[in-house]
Amino acid sequence: MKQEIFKIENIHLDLDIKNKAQLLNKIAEKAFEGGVCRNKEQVLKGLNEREAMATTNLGKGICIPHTKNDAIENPSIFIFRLKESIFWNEEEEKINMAISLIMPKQNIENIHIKVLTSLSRKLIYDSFIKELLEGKSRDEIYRLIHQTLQL
Amino acid sequence: MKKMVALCACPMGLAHTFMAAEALEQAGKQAGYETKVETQGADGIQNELTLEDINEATIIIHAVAITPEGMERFNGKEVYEVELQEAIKNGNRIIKEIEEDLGL
Repeated sequence: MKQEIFKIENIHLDLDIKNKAQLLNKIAEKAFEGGVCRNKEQVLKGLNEREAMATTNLGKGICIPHTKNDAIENPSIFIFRLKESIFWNEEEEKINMAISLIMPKQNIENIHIKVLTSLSRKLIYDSFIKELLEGKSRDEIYRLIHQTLQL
Repeated sequence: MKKMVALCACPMGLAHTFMAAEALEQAGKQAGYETKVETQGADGIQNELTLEDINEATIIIHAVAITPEGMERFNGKEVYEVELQEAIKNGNRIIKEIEEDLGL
């Protein structure tokens, strides 16, 4: 059965995370728990490799750690919001939220790619970022993303 | 109408390609250009620039972090290369600087 790319269970708020390593680990953990990937370590490795190429910090409090990876079975969007802002890298703005794109290496359905690319396009708009950062509940954030992406 | 074209491509083809494309599209339109932005990402080549597009353009921008396909289309053209991050954050300023550089 085809899995949804974005579920309310993929939103995690008020996380007690102290640094980048913990957050990347949390992303891989949740991807594994959510049945999105076969292997947590491989996802974590992929996320780290992408970060090593260039930061995914967008400024404005948001980063977008992402990976395309053999261990991933279902394309998914995850959202993590932290209790307190952390440094993503030195000399960058602190981040309070991660929007993580987790993608299989191959055979991605076109409809899913469209969702991801339209989400990416929205991320340049401050108003959208602000609503994500200030959303009061999982429900509110879920609805916002659903409406925005017309899922 | 004066025309601006751009090509965006990032390593994973998921995020920065499309953020930069959106930012440059908006900035180009705001500056009064007919704007066309090609993306080479996870969904392949979209909105492909033709030779005609490129020949007609006053401003040509590349925001790429990989070697894109079809680079020969730009042979002999004055191409402004910008960082993806820069395109995402400062689309308007990039166009302004290019205009100044071109004496527009």
